[in-house]
Amino acid sequence: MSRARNAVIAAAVSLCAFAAVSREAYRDAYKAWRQADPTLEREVAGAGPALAADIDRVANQAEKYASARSVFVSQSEAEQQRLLAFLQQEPPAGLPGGSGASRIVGVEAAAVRHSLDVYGNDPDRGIQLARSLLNRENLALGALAGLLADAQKTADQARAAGESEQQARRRALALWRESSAIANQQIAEASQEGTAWADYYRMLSDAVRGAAPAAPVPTLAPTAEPRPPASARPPLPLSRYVGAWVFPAANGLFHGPEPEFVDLVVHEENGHADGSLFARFKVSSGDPVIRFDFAGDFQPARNQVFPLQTSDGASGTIELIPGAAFNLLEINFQTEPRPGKIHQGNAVLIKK
Amino acid sequence: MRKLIVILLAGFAWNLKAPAQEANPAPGLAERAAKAAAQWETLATGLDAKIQRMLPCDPRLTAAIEEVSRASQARLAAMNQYLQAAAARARQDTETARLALAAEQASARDLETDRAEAEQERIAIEAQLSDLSDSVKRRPELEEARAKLHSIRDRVAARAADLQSLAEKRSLLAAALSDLVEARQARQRALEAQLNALALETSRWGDYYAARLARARVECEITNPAGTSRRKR
Repeated sequence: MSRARNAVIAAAVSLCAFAAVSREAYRDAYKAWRQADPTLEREVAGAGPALAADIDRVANQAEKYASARSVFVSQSEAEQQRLLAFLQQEPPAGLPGGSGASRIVGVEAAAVRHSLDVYGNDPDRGIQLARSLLNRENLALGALAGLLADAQKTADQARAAGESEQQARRRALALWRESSAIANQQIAEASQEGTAWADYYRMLSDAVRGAAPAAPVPTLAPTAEPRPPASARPPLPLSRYVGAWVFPAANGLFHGPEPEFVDLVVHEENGHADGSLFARFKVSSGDPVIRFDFAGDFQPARNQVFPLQTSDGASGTIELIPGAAFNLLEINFQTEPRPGKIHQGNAVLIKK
Repeated sequence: MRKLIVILLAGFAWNLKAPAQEANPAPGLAERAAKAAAQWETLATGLDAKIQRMLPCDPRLTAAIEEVSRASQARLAAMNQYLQAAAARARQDTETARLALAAEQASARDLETDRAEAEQERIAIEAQLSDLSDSVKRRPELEEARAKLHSIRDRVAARAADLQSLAEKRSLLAAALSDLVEARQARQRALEAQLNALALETSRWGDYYAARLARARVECEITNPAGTSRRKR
């Protein structure tokens, strides 16, 4: 099993700690997406920019489904790995065969028979007593010889059963590796499908926005999500960045100083982002609190980087990285180092 | 974040490897049994030569027989411990394989459902494609989206095919696991038979050494009723 595959699954499972997905959950997400606007492809022919809100709504549903399925597929594969990990275990060392017991029994039996011959039919009472004990020995050794022969057969059967088991184990292991390769391909494709759907809805939306409405639209419905100009739009829906995000109270993922809490808010208007972060970290000394604002234009990239300025004037950058699930956002920030101040942090936040 | 992922991976890899650490629940028992057997063999093989030149009432004679008898008991006890642990491990192994087989059989059914769902998804996309193709006639700028949807349709169709092939592999895997369960049950039965045979063997060795010791005492009494040591034969 390659380390890379374990790595992908491990990362997926670790992130799943935030958002474990059941089969029913992703099926429900699929239904919700499919029912969101079943006639969208027909409507786009004559619709104007007003339809963009609907497209965004459907795109969000598609993304939820794609994320949920992606996480579910990863979880299933991780579970299978856990259940079948035993196939990789080599059997423990067995006892070395060929015990010398049979040889010893043979030697002792020969010696006893010799003594019986020596004692012969001597009528002496003492000799007769010794002879009867020799007979007892002889009987015990005879019984042992038979038992040891049977025991050898049983040991051979156990050894043969062990070999059959190892053959079956190796066959199962090879098949598991083959099926695991296909499953990992499915995991990768699940993620790519999500991206493809996001691209598709963006293209629909671009086409609708780029054309005059086919008929006058009396009122514009409030858009589900404001959109920047197409040229600067990220490949993922803006909902993956904007909104209120927090560090989970339990089992939060982070690197570097451990957050006690993190509150992040991101707004968007016409392709321009602005936001603020307020956090307290568990540090042994110095100021545990950091507060900064950031702003900048969204770029056509998955990860968004914005310049920031802290409340005490330090500058730096913050990177927003959409997580494996739609409700996860990783943040990575650095500021100019100041004595006693937090100047970097990395954590996975969950949507509030 | 790469560091974070590394930390996560390390933790997860440890979890994945955890069952492997239970590979041998009784490490050292096989070695101990082999060592006890070797000790007994050495003593038993050398016993006749050792006592050959001793007088029948020489206390070292019965001590030598008792020493071999004790070594025999130690060998059989160590062997019993090893086989008990091996049989317990075999029972556990059988259960692990049985659970994996049950999960695999359930997973095979789920895969069939997944494949059917992928097929339904493809059909739904075909319907979208049909609608969008009509829309492209009225609004040519939708062509790029249509091409994208077309590629998604192909991707989902490929997923259905992959799921079919995965289901076939998993079906073979379930059959192999079923063979493994049977093989493990056979090993478990063989180990339990070894344990039963060992119990009988232990009893017979006990009989033999008891008779051997009794004969040594009788030979002493015969040759030296008044307490004077004389050589046997």
